Amino acid sequence: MGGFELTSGLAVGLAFGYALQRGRFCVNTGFRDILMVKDSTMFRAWALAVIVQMAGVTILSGLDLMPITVPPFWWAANISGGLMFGVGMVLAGGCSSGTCYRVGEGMAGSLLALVGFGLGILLADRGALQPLQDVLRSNVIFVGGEQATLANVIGINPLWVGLGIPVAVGFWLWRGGAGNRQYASGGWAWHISGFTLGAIGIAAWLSSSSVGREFGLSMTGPIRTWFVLALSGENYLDWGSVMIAGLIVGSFVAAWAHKELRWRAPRGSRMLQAGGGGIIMGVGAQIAGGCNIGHSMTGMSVLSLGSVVTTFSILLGAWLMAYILFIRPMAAQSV
Amino acid sequence: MSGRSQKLVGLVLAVALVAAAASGLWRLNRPFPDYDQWFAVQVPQGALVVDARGSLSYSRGHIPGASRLWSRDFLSYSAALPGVLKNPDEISAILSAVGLAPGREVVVYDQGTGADAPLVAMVLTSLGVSARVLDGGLDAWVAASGVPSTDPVAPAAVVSLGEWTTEQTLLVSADAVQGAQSSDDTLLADARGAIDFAIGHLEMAVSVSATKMAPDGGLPRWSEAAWVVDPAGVLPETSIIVYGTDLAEAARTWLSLRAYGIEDVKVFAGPFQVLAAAGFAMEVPVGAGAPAPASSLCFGAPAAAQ
Amino acid sequence: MVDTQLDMRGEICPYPLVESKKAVEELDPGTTIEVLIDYPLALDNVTRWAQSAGHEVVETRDLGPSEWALVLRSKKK
Repeated sequence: MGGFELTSGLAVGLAFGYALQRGRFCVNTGFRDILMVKDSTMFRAWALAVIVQMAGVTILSGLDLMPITVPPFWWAANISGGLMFGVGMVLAGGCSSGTCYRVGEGMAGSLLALVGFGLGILLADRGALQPLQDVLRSNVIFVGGEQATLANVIGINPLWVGLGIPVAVGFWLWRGGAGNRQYASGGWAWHISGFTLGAIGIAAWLSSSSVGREFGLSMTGPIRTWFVLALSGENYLDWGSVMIAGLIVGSFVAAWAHKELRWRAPRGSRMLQAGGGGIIMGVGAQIAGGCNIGHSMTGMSVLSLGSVVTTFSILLGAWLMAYILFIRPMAAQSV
Repeated sequence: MSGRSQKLVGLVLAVALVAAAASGLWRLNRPFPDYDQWFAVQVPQGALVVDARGSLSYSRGHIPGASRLWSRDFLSYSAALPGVLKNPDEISAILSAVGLAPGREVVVYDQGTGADAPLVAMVLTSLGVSARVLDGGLDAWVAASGVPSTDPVAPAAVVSLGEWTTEQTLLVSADAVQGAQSSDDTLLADARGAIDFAIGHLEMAVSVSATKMAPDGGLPRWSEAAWVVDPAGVLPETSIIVYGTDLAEAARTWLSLRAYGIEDVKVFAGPFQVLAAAGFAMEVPVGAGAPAPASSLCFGAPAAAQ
Repeated sequence: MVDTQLDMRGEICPYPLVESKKAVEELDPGTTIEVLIDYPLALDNVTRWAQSAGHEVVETRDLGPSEWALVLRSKKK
């Protein structure tokens, strides 16, 4: 591994983990809480991170300063994998990035969820569920010989979409106002974490592409490389692998610097739930070809139709599981 | 930790992040260090311009004043040994017929895809001729408002090459390839595409695919070359011997490596077939068929369009 | 002095929020509950929910690294 690959992966990973911890960023909470308690604060943070990254990547690739890769639109895998991921993350109590940063903070439930996540990935990638993955991924929809994007599917210049969506969504976010900027736990307000994560995403694209991995932040693939190394000795570690390691360390540093490091563990049944949810998340993310970061942030920043479909499916899966686990029981017992 | 230290930690991380982003942007857009030595952006005054394409393409339109020097003319084809470089006397005769004079600079071009020009430039370079390739070929020249001519060009009087033809060291034999396989000093570079490399390559060879570095045939981005070349452990002072499916493919890798700034690049003067048939030690990956996940991209290499 | 206590330390997301919501809604109006939380996001969530639902945030006490006691008073009906 080259020097720049190692140092830039670490720099981006550390910043990513630090920002995740300070912002308590979690797409699981963001998606779920809209439905469960009508709170869109975390959702806004995610939306802001997406549009900041989308605008930056659109400009850089539009000026031909940076190559990009668009995740494929293998619709069956996107839908089924996304639904599974949404279900799994609600069970596990966190999305993939949320799970990883909370490992750095000392949360045992998240550690078990992470182990489950890796095992689920392997199960679908090279284990008993590999045939299922292959079948679901077998049909890819292209547009004019290229990977399907929001732009080419309606036949317009990506600049319009890649800059238009940030303007429109940005306006909606700005109209909503920043809200109360002081959060009870003392972390970053949603607009701070949204901006910062978007900027980190752009930095990821730039440094990763310059060492040949022409993509940005992602969780599933990098986690897979570590589990494959641990369980079969095959070494596919690259920029993404370094970034993931940096993420956990960065979160640890943030927690330590702000006195939020603490070993915490739920009771047994919840641990099992977290682990099981992690496995389902891993299977879903591997099949879909990405998760709440790989698709719902990085893939969306290049307007991938597959990523958009996966993100909707994750949302639906999360809402379904949240309804079954929490909302219906809550409605049943309140007056 | 005090508020000041907390801010310091955050600041350090922010600075590292910005540095990573800025360095990435710079790395992606650096020019090749020896670009000017190997590529001409436009046809220079006084240079001998040579069209490396076949006669049909040439007759349809060529740069005015360019004579034809087809890359295939340098190769001899037999059933047993296809695409082997002709011997020096034959090559000298071919070059004399084009009107090559000592000390005259040559600019070679092809359509722009790199199918022909690198090979001609390589052979010329091996004979001590200062040769450059027109970046982007005829397509780029036409796009810059050049008007092709269809008049055949009769070259100037024939000049004997004997006086200034140097003993060439660029093109090497199979023995040199064998030497590279067993030595630590010389790197064997396989210029072929990823699939061919995966099916089977010479033991100890690394993949430095011309197509990967320059998909459109012209000059790749620095990063495109770097991430093919860097993982192979190549430094500016590394000694390299290149081989390819044929000489034209090897020549493209040779040209990219030289333009990238690597000085000591030699080329095996024949097709890969010769090496394979000669019983060289080969490396065939186990379980060839399923491509290995080469990166941490969740979706693997993007599925190829139909 | 709080009327009830709810220990949500160690719980995974979203149980601190779900259990707190249930507990507060079952309180007699005007009574207090002290929720022990050790997950920063849960502290934010529960506080935000309580405020938007009209309950009073009496105090938030720091108990140690990533550990808080959140005291809520249930709203008058």
